[in-house]
Amino acid sequence: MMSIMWVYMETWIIKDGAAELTRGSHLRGVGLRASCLSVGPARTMVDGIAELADPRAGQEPASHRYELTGMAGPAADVYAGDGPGQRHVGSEFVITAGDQAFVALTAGPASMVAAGSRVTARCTFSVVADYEWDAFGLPDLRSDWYVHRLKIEHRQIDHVPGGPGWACRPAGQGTSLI
Amino acid sequence: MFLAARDGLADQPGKVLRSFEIERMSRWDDDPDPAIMAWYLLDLAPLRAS
Repeated sequence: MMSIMWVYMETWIIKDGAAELTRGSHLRGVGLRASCLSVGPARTMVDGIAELADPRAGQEPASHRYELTGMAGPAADVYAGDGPGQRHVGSEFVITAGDQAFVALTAGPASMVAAGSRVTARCTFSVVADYEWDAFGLPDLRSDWYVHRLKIEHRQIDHVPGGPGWACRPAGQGTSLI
Repeated sequence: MFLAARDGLADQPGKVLRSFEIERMSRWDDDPDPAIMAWYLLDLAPLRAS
């Protein structure tokens, strides 16, 4: 199991006036989201993070996908938007692996995730924006990190479903930013 | 219990055009083309383990 992983971070998350990160920087008070492609019963005996083999390796840039195995916490359904346009976008729960914990977001209803069960999530990791901890009542999983290396990834997009105007929230909680 | 994949949920949106290592972040890292979105990728380890 590894303790180093590539984590996505949107460029706007760096606050105005904040020190720009370099190799060797300390990133303090940051929590990570595991955006899950799938969640199922634990595939390993030991909790932790393992890199997923990329079948396109060598042909395209690496996908930076991982298998995160750990204990699932209680799940909550997550909705985007308000009023008649509100839609279910998945469920959110904490996965604890050793002394690290992550906010996991996956498709499907919260009832599909059994609290206290060991799961393996195939996922990518990203930095949770600071405003989300209070706005959406997330459990405070922030911790301190060491930055080994940095990369820039440019993506061609048709539209941007993420970004600061996009909001996820548990049912009946918080205020949508949309 | 098994939650099946939903297209696009786990991945950042769009097709990767290029990816390269940098020494430090810069306020000019965003691409001026609105159809191109820049992401930082940080190779992180828990601070106490480094």
